[in-house]
Amino acid sequence: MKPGGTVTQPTTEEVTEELVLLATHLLNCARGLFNEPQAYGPIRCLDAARRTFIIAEKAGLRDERLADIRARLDDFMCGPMEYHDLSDFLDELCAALLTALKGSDVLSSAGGERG
Amino acid sequence: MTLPDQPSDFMRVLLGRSAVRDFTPEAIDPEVLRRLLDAMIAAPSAGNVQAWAFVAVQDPRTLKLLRAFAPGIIQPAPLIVAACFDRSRAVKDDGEFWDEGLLCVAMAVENLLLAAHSEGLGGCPVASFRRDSVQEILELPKHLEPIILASIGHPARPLASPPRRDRSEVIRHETWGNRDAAHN
Repeated sequence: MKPGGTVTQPTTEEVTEELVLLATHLLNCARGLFNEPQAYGPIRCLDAARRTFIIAEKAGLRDERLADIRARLDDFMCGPMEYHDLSDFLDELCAALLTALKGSDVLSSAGGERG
Repeated sequence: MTLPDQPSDFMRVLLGRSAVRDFTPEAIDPEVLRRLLDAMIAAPSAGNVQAWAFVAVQDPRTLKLLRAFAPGIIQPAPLIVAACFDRSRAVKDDGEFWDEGLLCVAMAVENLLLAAHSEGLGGCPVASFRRDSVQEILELPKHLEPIILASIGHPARPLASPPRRDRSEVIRHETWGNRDAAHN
């Protein structure tokens, strides 16, 4: 944020770069999981969700509940490694996400998903 | 000789280090970097063979590429040191490979991490990366095999130590069968 409180929006090129790097990360995760411990799989997915939220925030996402979820993901990935019950943690996050998305303006009511 | 009651500064560095995966964007001071790298190559080396090589990366573009090919690097860092095993120096007289030098690479990285911690920095060793991609990004010759990527920087959050296994669980004295806790 710039002095005076204005938010610096990234350029399309910057967001594109972040997305390309994320896609590269995901492919490397996918290949790496053939050699890494099985338990790494959920952690890599969780981290990829965290990285996606970071890009969305840089692109302008402002949603307090989603930001809280991202902060929990940050704490998990960047804090001390403790032996969490990961499935419980993911259950909590998924439930929190559903609550956040149901009441969020992030989802528009126009059209359908494209792919 | 009288032993001091309090741990020395050095012991505090040893006991206070923990992994740092989240960094501020602040660059590493060049003089500090020089000290870190000197500490790194002062590590023990079997037979003083020094079958190692290191690439210190600070170029933003290369840092982005490395992180994209290293899922273990969680957050962007201002410095990544690629620690490599030099296979050309790790050959026995009979031509067989001599892999003990891998341990020396790991000890050099530990020196690097401790030196970083003593300078108020932090870091994390990472082995989850795509070897051949890192080899290409860093233009490493075939005989230099990247073993560890160490991301280093100024910690973005307070250090926190994870719980460790109890010492009585992992340390015994004289023999493994000796469960005498007197020493612990």
